[in-house]
Amino acid sequence: MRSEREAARQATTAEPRPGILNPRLVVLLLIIALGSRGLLGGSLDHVALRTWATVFVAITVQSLPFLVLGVLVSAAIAALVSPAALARLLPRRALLAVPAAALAGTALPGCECASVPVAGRLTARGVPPAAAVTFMLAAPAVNPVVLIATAVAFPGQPRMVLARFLGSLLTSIVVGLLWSRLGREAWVERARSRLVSDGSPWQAFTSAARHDVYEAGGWLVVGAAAAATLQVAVPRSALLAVADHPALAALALGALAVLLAICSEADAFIAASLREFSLSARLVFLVVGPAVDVKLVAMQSGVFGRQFASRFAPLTFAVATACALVVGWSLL
Amino acid sequence: MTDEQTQSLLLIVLGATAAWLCWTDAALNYVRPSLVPYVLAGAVILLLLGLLPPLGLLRRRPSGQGNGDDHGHAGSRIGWLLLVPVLVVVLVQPAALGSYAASSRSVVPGGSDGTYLPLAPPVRGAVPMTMAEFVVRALHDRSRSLEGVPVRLIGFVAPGDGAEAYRLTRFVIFCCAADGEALQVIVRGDGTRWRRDQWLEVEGQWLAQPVAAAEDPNPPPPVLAVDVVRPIGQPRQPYESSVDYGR
Repeated sequence: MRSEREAARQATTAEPRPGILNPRLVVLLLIIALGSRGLLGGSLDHVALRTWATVFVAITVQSLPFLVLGVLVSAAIAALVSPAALARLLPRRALLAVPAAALAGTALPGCECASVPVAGRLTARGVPPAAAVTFMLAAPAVNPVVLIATAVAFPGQPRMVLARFLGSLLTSIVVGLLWSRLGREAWVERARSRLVSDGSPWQAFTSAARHDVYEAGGWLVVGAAAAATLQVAVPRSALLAVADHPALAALALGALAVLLAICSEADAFIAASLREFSLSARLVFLVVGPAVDVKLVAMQSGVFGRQFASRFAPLTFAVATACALVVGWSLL
Repeated sequence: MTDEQTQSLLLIVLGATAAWLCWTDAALNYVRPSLVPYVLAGAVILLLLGLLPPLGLLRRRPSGQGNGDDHGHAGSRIGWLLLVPVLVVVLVQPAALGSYAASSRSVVPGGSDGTYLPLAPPVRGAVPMTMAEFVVRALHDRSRSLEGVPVRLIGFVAPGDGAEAYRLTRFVIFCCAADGEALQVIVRGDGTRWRRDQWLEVEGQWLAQPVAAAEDPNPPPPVLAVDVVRPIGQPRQPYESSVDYGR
């Protein structure tokens, strides 16, 4: 497998030469792979590799329907919604547009993989980046599906649901307001430069969908591979050493949320089983997870560009941790 | 137009792989059953998106126009990675999480002190139950509903601590295998040296222990004294996916 993957990697880093980007190469790779089918799983009793493969494919397969949904919505925005109509919908001033975007996010049950391409297309259609990133943070974190899952995972503790709702909403609004102050247009140039092909709305829709699924999907694979590697390499028990220290425990669970990259509908169950940690520390896990993790950073750097991702990820991590701790200490 | 053909081919290959996983139930090694129809729908849409240009529904764009071709190239290159999950599925045959992953993901589920539903009626002399129900009742049910009840559990063999023979283990997943947590039961009374990851159906009784203290975050797993042990193949659904741990 390694040689094929390296070939694929090389193809991704090489200069775009038509000779390399050739459909025949895809077919060739597939034939080689089918010829050595099951070779690695069968002959090597390499349990770590098998676990890695299961986790990696699981994240990819699980994200697929949400990615496709997000891509269809983002393509519809690209094809059907004119920048003028969007401008009329959104308040002009960031102070109003950001909370409005957060509320729009709460109404749409989405997964974090879906909201990244949608936020990218919104930016391409002229929505202020501050409002787009607020939407991107709010949509996966504070919607009814996620809140119900949290209530099920923490029975008899409705304050946990309220705390998660407030913590995530606050995070999305604070990050949006900070971005409207500090953000630079140059950092989102990659998202702005996505043009829509001319022609009928149907053509614009399909070409945007193909482009987005291809690009966001590629970065999703990068993120899934990183998350699977971290999951296999870092045992969860390594965290327990810091469970008793309030500040370190919160940071450790924030970091765990970043490296596990699990879906926002499932993370409440993991948080419920981390009983060695205080409720506030577990709230950090729930607020950070849907906002920033390795899979999301990869997808954001693909959609918005590396300049964006390298600033947005640390900012979001810091704001999410702080918001969760403030809400946690006052509510839990 | 080579780029466009490559793009189509990659989308089709990925869509076909995902559809095949759903069709053969291999997807159950990765995601919870209720997610499978959505994965299949996503796969069909990927296939359609891939097939559009070859079928001529999307007319070719004049080259150098639209879609920001300068980073369209970057897009086409990163899209090559869509082939990686396909190659991983083909080369490392689909498999569920096993005893290796169990060692770092073992958990003891929390439970409420509330009331528990009555047990299901016994089938062929033992009450069939999920691992989640058994573990939660054993650790948290103050009315000790498991005491003296023959039960039937399904799980795989994972090594135990010290003198333990082995631990019967099953993963619970909530969305996908990435969030899987291992539930374990210590098995007593079976001297057979099973190989790791062998699936077993066991019948036996809970070795009664006091209910775990509410403040103890990490009580030891419950113990099952077994009478009957039958090796079986991997079940169609390798994971339990009860979101509420059977409460």
